[in-house]
Amino acid sequence: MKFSEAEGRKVVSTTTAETVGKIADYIIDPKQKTLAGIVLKKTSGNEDTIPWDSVDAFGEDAVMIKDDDVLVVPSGRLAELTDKSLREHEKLVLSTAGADLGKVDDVEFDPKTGALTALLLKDTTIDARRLLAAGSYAVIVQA
Amino acid sequence: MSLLMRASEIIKRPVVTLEGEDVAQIKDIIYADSGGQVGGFTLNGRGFLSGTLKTALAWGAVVALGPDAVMIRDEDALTNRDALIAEIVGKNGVGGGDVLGSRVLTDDGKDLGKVLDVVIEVTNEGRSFANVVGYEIEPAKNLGADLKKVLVPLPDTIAASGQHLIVPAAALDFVTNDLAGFGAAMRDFRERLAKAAP
Repeated sequence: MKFSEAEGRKVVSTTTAETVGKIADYIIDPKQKTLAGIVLKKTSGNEDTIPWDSVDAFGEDAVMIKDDDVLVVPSGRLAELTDKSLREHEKLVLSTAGADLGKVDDVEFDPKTGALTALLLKDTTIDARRLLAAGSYAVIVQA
Repeated sequence: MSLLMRASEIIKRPVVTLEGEDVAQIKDIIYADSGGQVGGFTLNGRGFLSGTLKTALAWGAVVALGPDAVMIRDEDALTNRDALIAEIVGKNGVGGGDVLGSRVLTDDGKDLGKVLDVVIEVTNEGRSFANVVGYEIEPAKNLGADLKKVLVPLPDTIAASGQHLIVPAAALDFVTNDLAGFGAAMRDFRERLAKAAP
């Protein structure tokens, strides 16, 4: 599944059956090459982030969580990773050889495990196994 | 694998860590080995208002000199600028080797022209090196009036004074006008010099 496909998807509590919010953005862990969390919009409180571990099911039509008390304000490790958004400002992709490969257009992931599978650039697809880091200037991939 | 680039293209290239942070950009090249090799780089900060940094980058700390960025492991790869310049220049005996503007003379006394840019070959076989392999020159009239800029290949070692650079007369046979054909010309030239050597 692509990040763009699931953007705006509703997040529903299995306890109350109410919509808690909609997917606005993703927090990734470049070292683990996984999703670390999902950022929501239209939530009722300040807490707008679901750690990936609290996602019960990432379904085709809705993302299911237990209740809205799994929502957090990112802190610690999750807050650090919040700065490492992959698509923000169409982030540049640099290889370890210092070559500009393009800009991240979209990201593909496995909705069952949260594992990132590919970085989609305008003209090419990069295997997410090559992902090394995401900084404020560029995403670094193995040459 | 080897990559040819002009020194002027390296200037202003961002210096990026393997964490994806841009920590500096190249200000200038510090030449080592009497101008035959890249010894390191002086740095500017990133952004419009940032000036020259007190840190510099030694060639040994470069992970890759790529076409779009200079990659380093982390910010600890940067060292004290004055100490690095002193170390590199101390080994050479001569100053940083700023060759821009020097006249290129053949060893049989022909003036080829004025140096406009330096051609650097980066090789990544085993340990990586950045060698100065040619000069881009504004050709003297005797090379042909229709030429604007030409590339002259260099032998492994050259004599340089800051005023003149001396190249073997055979270099004239391998002059090209684009970087695409230069790699082959440079290798042919060095091969011929190696054969001619006793």
